[in-house]
Amino acid sequence: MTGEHLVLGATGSLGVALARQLAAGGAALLLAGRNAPELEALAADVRLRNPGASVRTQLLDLAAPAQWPATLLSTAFHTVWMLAGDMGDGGRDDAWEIGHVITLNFTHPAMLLNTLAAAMAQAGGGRMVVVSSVAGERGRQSNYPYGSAKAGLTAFASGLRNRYARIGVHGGGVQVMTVKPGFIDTPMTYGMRSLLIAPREAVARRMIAAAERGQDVLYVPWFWRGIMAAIRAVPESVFKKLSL
Amino acid sequence: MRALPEKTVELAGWGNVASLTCRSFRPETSPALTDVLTRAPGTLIARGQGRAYGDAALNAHGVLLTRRLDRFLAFDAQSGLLTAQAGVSLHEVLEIFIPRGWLPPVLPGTRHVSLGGALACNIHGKNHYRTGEFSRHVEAFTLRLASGARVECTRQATPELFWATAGGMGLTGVIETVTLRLIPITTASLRTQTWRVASAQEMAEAMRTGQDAEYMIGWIDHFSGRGAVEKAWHMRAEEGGAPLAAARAKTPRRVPCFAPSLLLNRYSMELYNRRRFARFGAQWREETVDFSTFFHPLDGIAQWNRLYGRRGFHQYQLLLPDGPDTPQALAELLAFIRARGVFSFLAVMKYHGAGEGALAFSAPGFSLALDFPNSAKVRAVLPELNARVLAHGGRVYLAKDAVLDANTFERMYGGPELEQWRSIVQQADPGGRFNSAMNLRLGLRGGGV
Repeated sequence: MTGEHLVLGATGSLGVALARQLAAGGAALLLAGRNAPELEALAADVRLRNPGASVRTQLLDLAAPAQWPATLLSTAFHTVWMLAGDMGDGGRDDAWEIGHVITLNFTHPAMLLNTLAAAMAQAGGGRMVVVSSVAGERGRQSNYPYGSAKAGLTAFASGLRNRYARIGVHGGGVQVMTVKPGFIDTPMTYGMRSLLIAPREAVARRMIAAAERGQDVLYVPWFWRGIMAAIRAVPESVFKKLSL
Repeated sequence: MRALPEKTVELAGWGNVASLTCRSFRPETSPALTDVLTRAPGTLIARGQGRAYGDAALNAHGVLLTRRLDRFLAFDAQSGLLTAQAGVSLHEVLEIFIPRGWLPPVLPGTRHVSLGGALACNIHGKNHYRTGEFSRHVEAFTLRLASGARVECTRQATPELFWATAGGMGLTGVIETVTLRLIPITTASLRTQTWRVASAQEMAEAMRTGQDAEYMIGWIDHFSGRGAVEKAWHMRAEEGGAPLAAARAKTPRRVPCFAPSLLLNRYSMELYNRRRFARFGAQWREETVDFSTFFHPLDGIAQWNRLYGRRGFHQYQLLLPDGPDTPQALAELLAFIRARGVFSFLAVMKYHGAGEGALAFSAPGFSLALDFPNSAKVRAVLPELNARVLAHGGRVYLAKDAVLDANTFERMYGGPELEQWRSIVQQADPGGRFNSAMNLRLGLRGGGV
C-alpha cells in the first residue's frame, strides 16, 4: 500500500473540491486527469492551500486504456476515488455518441476499477469510492444512454463490493462505496432550474465522511434516496408516458 | 458541439440600486474560459465577487463569472510573489497567507473582492499615500482577449496593455491570473492611535501632516460634523502583537434577508454615530487591535448591504486634489449634503497619493466615501454633488458609482490619458466584445453612448 489516494477525474468540478478537502484532512494525493496544465494548476493549488501536503499528478485519459501506465494499474492505493466520466453531448443521438458515453461511464471505468481493486486485495486491502449517478436508477428518455451506463457501473460496483467483502473476512478486503449524487453545482447543472442543486463542497464532505464510515451506498444529498424510490415505484405502464 | 453552460440570473451591484437580468457563464478551467470567450454569442464583462457597488460588473448579454477560476498557482517565499487565478479572493489570500506571515500590501474595506476585480478597479486601501493602489504591487498578469488569446502582461513587455487593464474596468479583456507581491508581517495586530477632531477641515489638515503612519483613516459623524482620525502601524513580534495564526476570520453572522427599509433612518443612523463617536477623546488614545477589526469591520456581518433594505444604498466616493482650500472644500461638501436633508450613515476620509493606471482614482488629495440609503431625495442630491466635485477638479470612483452621467464622466476623467486609454482598448478589443452596463451608461470606451 502506498497510502496515497488516487483521484480519477481530479480536474472536474467535484474533483477540485474533493482534492482540497482530502489534502486538508492530511491525505497524500495522486491526482489523475487528461489535461496536463489543469492538473498541474490544481496540484499547485492544493499544495499552497495545504502546506506540507504530498500531491503528485498523473496524466491519464479514461478514453485510452492502451496508454494507462502499468505502474499505476499495479499500485495498491489507500483509496481510489473514481470521479471520471462523461455526460455526453445531449444534442447528439448517433451511435458513436452512445458508444462514447457507455465506454467512458461504464466499460473503461469497469476495466480500471477491477484492475485497481485486484492490486489492493493483493497488497492487503483498500478502499474504493465509485461515483455513479441517480440517473442509473431508471432509464429516462432525456438521458438513457448515460443512465444505462451508470446503471451498469452501479451493478459493477455492487459486484466488486460483494466479491471483496467476502475476502475481507480473512484480510485483503476492499471496501467499495457506490455514490449516487443527485444534482451538484457543477458546469453539468449550471443553468438548470432546480432547487435541489447541492454545493459541491458539501457533496465532497459527505463522500469523505461516508467512505471513512465504511458505508456501502451513499445517496447525496440524502433525500435522493426517497426521490429515486418514488421514481422506481412508478409502474412502467405509467412511467413510459412521463416526460422526465 | 456541446452547448455552452449558461444561466439567466438577476444580478445586482453591491449597493442593490443597479440590477439587471443577465446571461451568465461560469467557466471552471482555462479551456472552459476559452470556450466562453470564443463561443458566447454576445458581449461580455467579467465579474468576481460582485462587490462593485453600481453597474460595473453587469451586462445583460454576458457576465463571465470568475469565482470558480480560483487556483493558487505559485508562491515564492523569498520574494513574496504570489500567482493565483483571478477568481481567488483577498479573503482566501488572507486566510492562507497571514498565518505564514504575508500580507497583500493594499487592502480595501472588504476582504471579499477577487484579485481580478481588485486589478480591474485598481482598488486602494487606508495606505494609498504610502503604497499607491493595487496595480502598483502587481508584477504581472495574464489577460484573455476577445479571441481567447492569452497575453502575459508586464510593465516591461506590454506597458500599454498593463496600464490600460489596471483600473480599466474589465474592458480590455478577462484577467485570468494575477501575480501580486505580498509584504512580510510578524504579528496579527496593529497599534493604533485615535483622536477626535472637531470638523472635516481639521481632519484633512491633520491627515496632510500625519503621513508617518502605515495606515490612516478618518471617520466622520456626518450628523454632528465631528470626527476621529485613526493611524495604525503593524506590530512587530517583539512589541507583543497577537500571533499570526490568530488572524483567521471568525465565521460572520449573516443578514438573512433584506431588512425593512426603515431600519436605517435618519434617527437610527444618528444614534449609531453618536454612540460610536462617544468613545473618542480629544487626546491620543493608543490601542492594540486585531487585524480583522482594523481592516474589515463590516465583514463581521455577511450580506451587510441588506441592512439598507430592498431600496439599496448609494456608496459615493469622491476625490479632491489637494490644494490650499481643499480641507475647507471637503467640510463644505459635507455641509451642503447635510443642508439638503441627506445624511451619510458612514463617512470616511482617506489621503491618496499619486497613482498609476487608466481611469485612476488617485492624485495627491483627499477621498470621501459616503453611504446613503437610496431615496428620491438622495438621487436628486447626488447629481448636484457631482457638479460640486467637478467644480473642485475632483472625480468620483467608478467601482462604487451608479449615478454619474456620460457628460459628467467625460468632464471628470477627460483628457489625453483617457484618450490614450481609449485607443489602447480599441486596439485590444476592436470588436467591442467587452462591455458593461457602466460602459453603456458612461461611454467609458468613447465614441458616444
